Amino acid sequence: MTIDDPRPPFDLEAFDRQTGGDRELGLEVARMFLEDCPVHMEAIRAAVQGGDAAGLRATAHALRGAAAFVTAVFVVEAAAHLEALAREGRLNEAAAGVERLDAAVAQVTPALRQLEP
Amino acid sequence: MEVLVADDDRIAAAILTQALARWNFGVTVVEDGAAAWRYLQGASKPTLAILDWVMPELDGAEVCRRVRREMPLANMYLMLLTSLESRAHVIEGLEAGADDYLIKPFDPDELRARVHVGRRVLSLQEKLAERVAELQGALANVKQLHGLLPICSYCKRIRGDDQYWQQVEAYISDRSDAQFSHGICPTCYIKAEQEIDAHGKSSQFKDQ
Repeated sequence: MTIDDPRPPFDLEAFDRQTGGDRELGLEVARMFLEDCPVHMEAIRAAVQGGDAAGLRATAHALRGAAAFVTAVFVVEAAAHLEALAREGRLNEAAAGVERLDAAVAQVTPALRQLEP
Repeated sequence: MEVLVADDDRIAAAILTQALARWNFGVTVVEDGAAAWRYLQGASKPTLAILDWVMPELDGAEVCRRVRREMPLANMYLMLLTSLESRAHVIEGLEAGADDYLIKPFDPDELRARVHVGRRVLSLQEKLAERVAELQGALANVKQLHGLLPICSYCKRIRGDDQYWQQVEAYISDRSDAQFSHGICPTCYIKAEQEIDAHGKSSQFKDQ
């Protein structure tokens, strides 16, 4: 699955602003996101497979918050969608939501890795 | 001023810590609501706290509720910083006792401005508390002069709690910051002059 959207998966200008122009902090934040994201994805998959709406809501919320700070707009939107599905108890649609989230993460990951000097 | 940051998201905590340090605030970070509540319970100075809503143990809104219910006179400025952006959440957060509500990811300039509002409010509340303490002290002095005073109809001395009769000025001086300078009013001056004249004439009469 690919995301067909003209917006960039990562907004460097907004990210710089978010981190106060502090390059070192920006790198640290990007590294934290790259470390934490697989953990969140694992927890999201487990919650979907286990039919755990509360768990899905909490982990999707956590990933959404972290992604917002690295200006990963597609990850934010896909995680928010999963959070809404969990809130509304529509777990039968969550598998497609996870696919969309996977695609969004795959798009933003290389952009964040490129920040490394 | 020290700012408490309560957030289980280490990215949010890192960005907040760095931003607050740039603006010359000290920062204490905790990762759950129970730790935030313990910190606030032990705070002895005016405190500004930035609380995430969704946290383990206690959520940020519940921390606000506990502070307002159990520490109603505490000088604390509580800001909820969360990605819960619905109007209903904003209303619930403010009704829980938060002084301000910000949506993640925050705009750094907006956060700085709002944190400075918080510092200003805390400073005003602290000054107000100092003035209230001063007024209470003054009121305690004033109260010493309240009540029914037994006064002699002839010599105008007042009987104190120790049953001794005191001059009016001594009585008031003992119970307030008032001081007396002694003079003579026009009516008493005329009377005194007449008495002195009469005394003089009487002395002359005796001498003759």
